[in-house]
Amino acid sequence: MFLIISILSACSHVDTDKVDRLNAKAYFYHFKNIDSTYAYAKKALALSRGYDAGAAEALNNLAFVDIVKMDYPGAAKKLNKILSITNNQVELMIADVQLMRLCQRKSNNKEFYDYYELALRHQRRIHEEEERLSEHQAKRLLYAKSEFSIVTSVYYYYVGLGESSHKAIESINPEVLLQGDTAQYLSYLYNVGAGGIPIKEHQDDVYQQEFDYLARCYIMARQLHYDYWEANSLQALSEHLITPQSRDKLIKDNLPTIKYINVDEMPDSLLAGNLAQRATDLFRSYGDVYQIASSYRTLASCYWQIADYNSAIACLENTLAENKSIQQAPDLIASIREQLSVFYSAVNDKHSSDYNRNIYLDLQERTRQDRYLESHAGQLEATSRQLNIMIVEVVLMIAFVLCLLLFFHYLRRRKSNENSLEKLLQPLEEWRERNANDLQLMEEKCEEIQEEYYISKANVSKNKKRNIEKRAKLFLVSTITPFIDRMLHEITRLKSTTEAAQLRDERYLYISELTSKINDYNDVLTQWIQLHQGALSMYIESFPLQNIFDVVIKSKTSFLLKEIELDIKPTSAVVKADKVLTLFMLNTLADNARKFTDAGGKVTIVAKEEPNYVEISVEDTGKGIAEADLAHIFEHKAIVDYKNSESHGFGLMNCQGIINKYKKTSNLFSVCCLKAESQVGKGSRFFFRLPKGITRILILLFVICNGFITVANAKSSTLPRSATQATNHRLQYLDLANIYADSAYYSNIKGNYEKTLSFADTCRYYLNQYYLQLRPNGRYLMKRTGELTAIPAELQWLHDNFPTNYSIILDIRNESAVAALALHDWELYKYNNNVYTLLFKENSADKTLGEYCRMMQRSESNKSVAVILLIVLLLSIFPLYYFMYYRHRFYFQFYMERVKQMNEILLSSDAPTIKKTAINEILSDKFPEELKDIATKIQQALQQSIESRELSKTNIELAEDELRKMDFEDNKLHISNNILDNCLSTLKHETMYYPSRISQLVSGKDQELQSIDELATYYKELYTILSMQATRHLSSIKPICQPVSVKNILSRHIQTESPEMANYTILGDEDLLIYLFEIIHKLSGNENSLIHIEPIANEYLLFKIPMPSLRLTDEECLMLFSPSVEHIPYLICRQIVRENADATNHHRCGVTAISNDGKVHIEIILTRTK
Amino acid sequence: MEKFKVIIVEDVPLELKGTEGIFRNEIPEAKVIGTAENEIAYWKLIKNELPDLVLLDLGLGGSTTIGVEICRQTKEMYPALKVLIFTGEIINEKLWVDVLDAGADGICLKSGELLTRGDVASVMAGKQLVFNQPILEKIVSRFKQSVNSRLMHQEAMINYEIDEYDERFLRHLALGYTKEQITNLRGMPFGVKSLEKRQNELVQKLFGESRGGMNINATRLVVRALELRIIDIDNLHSDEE
Repeated sequence: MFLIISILSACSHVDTDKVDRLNAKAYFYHFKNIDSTYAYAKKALALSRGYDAGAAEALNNLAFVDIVKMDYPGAAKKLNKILSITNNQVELMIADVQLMRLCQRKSNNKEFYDYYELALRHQRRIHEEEERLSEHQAKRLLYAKSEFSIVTSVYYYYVGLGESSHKAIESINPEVLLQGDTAQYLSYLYNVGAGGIPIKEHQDDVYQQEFDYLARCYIMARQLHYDYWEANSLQALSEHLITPQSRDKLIKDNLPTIKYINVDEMPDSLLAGNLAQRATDLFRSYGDVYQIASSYRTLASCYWQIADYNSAIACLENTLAENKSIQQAPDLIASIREQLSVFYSAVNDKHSSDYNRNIYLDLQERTRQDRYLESHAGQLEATSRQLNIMIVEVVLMIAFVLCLLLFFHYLRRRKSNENSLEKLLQPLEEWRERNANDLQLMEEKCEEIQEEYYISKANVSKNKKRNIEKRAKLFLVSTITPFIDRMLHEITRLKSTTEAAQLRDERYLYISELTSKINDYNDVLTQWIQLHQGALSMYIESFPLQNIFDVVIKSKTSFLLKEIELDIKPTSAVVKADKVLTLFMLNTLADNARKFTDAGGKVTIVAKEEPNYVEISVEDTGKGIAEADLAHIFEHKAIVDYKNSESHGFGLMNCQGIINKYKKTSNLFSVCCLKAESQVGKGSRFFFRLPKGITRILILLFVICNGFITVANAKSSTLPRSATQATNHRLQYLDLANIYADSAYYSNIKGNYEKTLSFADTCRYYLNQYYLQLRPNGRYLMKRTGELTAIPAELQWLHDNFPTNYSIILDIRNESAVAALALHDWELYKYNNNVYTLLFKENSADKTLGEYCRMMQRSESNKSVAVILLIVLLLSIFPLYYFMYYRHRFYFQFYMERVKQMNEILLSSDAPTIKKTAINEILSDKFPEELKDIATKIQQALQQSIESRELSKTNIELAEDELRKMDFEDNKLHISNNILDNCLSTLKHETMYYPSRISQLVSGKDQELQSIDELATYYKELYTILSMQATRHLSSIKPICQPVSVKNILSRHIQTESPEMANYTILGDEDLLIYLFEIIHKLSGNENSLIHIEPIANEYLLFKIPMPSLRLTDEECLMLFSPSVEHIPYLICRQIVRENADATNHHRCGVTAISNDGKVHIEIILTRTK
Repeated sequence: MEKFKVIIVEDVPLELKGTEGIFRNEIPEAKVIGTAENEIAYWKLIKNELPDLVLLDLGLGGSTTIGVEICRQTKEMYPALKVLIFTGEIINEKLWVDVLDAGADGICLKSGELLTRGDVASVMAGKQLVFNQPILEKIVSRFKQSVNSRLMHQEAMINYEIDEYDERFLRHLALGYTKEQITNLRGMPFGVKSLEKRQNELVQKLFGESRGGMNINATRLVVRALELRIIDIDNLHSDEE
């Protein structure tokens, strides 16, 4: 890119020096020959392609030419072009200055100030790098600066701001100009001379000094052939020489100079005209349209002075007609029109005079400086208003956007508060409900277990009752043993000794008595057993066999310890039987198999389903059983016969007993059997058959609930508006002045000019009065007429910022001027017109206009900046909104997602502990406050749920354990009861025969002694074996020995004599003790009874229970605990007390019946808690 | 045997008859001065006339073990009075011990040869601990068992090559000492490592190669040692005591 640019610049290389030279030449001819300037500038422009500064300079020169020729649009176009083609600050400044001149000519005040500002700005820029300027550029700068000051000065001069004009020209250093730029020096001289710049005490002195400047200008211009300046100085000199007063003095004071100037040697009175004529001619040849008109105006003044009114009028009319382009300069036209009105008035052409005066006044009005206030200031104000509107709009926009954002924020917040947060909490609620349901279910389960526990407990106590009864039966059995022993003893005696026959008979008799007693006892036992025959003691149910297998597999360890493999084949079979007894059988068979199998062997348990039954077999690889033994394996004979050998013991007998019991219970169990197959050395197979059962299926249903969604609405509000108004006051004097001014105007219209002047006098009087009212020591009072050079009072007022109505003054001065004009009172007219013009200009001129413009511009730019800033602010609201709110929103959203995730986890089907770890992973400290709340809530709820679940679980587990314990005890008792049942019935069946037989044989006495002996011995052995089987089994039920409060065991109907008695505690099994008192209560005839309790030796408690329903003798009381069917309840009581004594090791415990005159009471001694 | 007076305490009439027959026929020196079928009757009798011997059944009516208390009280009141227990409680060994503690001079079970003249004579001669055949059989079998376990201990020590330290180690393990605590014993000059090695060796010795796939922990080892009588359950004392 850089390369391309450099090549291009090389190709389009221009001779800048040449362009500069051409431009310099063009500049040189500025005030000499405008055509040469044009030609050179044109050439320079043509050559300056690519040389911006050169082109700009050329254009500046061309614009100069255009201005001279009054081609203002062309000039403006060229100058504006400069602004766009270069950034050469000097040329730009020159262009600005030319534009300023253009504006001054066209009376475009506002634009003038704009360019004035721009020029100043460029000047400042140039100032920053002034030393770097080339010589040519320095010259141009000099021109620019001086031209700037001069144009400014001229502008101020024309708008009537003499002071500002003076200041502007003062800023020029004439020495420098004299050195650097002759043309500009001449311009300086001319402007000082023509523009009323010098300030002197006497007007004559001012004229003199001006004359000096102008003369110097003329001489120099003439010498150096600056035609333009020569003409200008001539014209100015001419103006100075028009009035006879100043002319005579000047001519008298400057004779040599006058002589030099008066080349045509005109008489003094015609010199001014001559000079004007020469100026006109020079301008004509030079080609400056504006100046031609201006010089004609001067010429006309000269004609007027010599009272050649018609020539003057012709001259001016000619000027106006000659070149229409001068219409572009309103000031010029205005002055021409003013002169014309005077001239026409002088020739008494009132109509034309008025016409021209009106044009003059109109132009005054149009070009007055504060037009700017109406047009440009208006424009500025418009832009300013526009800007204000924009600012307001932007501010409103910002407010609106902010409100909108706030509203959205509020909506979201509400939504988020009411909905999303609620929504976030909804799953928690749902989960809580679910959780509560779960907990409820768990609690229900716990309750169920509890209920089962109570059922089980009731079963246990029932079984305990049965058990104690069976123990009582067994005790009865054991009481028979001494009888048998005594029998055997008698037999031994009979065999070994030869006693007297009587004694032998006694012995035989005793034996028969014993046998009959045994028979009696057996009868009691038989009846006792039959007493409960009807009641089913087995729990028959259908159950999957696998359940049993699962329990058996627990004994795997004991097999492993013996290095035997236990193989249990899974099964789907369902059987109908007593579960506990089935388990007992299977365990018994498995234990036997283990016992008879050596290390390395294998025990297999398998169930085989057949159409009618399920066969459960236990197979081992043990030593096997001989065929002879196999036949009797389930009989007690095997035990009797092989007393010292290892035997299957009572286990198989018990199993056989259970199978027999099934068979006895129902026909359904006819398929039941227990069998064994064996081969010595190879192993055995024991199997039993049970009927098939029916399976049941349970179906569970779940119901899920739904939540609700809520919707929110928004509200809006309006703002009231207010306005204020102000009022004004008027002043009396001014009102009167105004009335007289109006009257003057009307009298002028009526042509009553004398009256006009008197009205004007009155009006002035009131204005002066007003002035004096406000300024009692005021020196300046308005006059009717006066010196033109002196400052009029109203102008002084204006300068002093006196607050009066200047429009009244202007009116009155104008009307006075018109009246004076009509009355041909030229002095009065001049004074009034002059005052009017000055006041009009000064009043409308605004010293602070530049400042005001600058301020307006500054404020405009400030406002622009404000607008931009506001827009930036507006735009920045969005990122700010993002940062301030939306980021939070995103952040919030992000964490909300997390909470949602937590909720999902919460509602998932995982275990609470897994949920907790998952949620803890998500949880962090960065959560926003509201969400943190929810998150902690979720966490806490979960934690709580885990805790309560854990508690529930523990409760359930504990309850289950309790239940299992109860079930276990129940089962144990159940088995024990059944086995005892079997044992007792076997004992009864097997031994019933022998006592009767012995009894029969006893009658045969000595002949049968041998048989009796054999029979009795066998009877004893069998009896011992069978009773041992039962007794052995008793030890499987461990006695319970716990402290029990008396009040807990007494039934509702039994009361203690005093309440303290109920607080005693005794040791024992609560269930059995309750049973004891139940029986006692029953025996007492189910009546409410009052018992007495007293401690014995601090170790026992004696319970004295009255038995009102019993009427017994002492003998009968003694016999109450001897075996008989009627005494069964007493026997049970005795058994309970006996067990209690045995468990507590307190032998005094017992139960006795005591008769007192037939009234019976029972005394029970039980062990007291220490 | 000199003549002596006897009171029979028996609640079952038929049994009483038999017992009276025994005295009458086999022990003519005895003069039955009274029979009682319950406690009250007994105390009445004994207040009337003090006998030389009381033949006491343990169970009377509803009070099946009251005899123990009767024996105790009798012995407290009349230390010179001989009390011979004659009971049908043929399997309740605990009761035997209790009644001996209560001061009974002897126990005859209503089993086998029942009450013999010899036993009564022994009691009357002032012998303590008079037992009839069935009870003696039980006592001797228990004694043998105890002696046997002593023998088994010795055999085990020899068979399993158990030295003094092994025994001490096992004994303290049984007492619940940790290995660290055991190393601190005066008679145990080993560190934990050695003890662990010793334990492994003991497992080898006591369980052999095959352990049925079971891991043997210290408790199992100690129980095995108790079974084999290597340590004596009745003699588990720490060295430090």
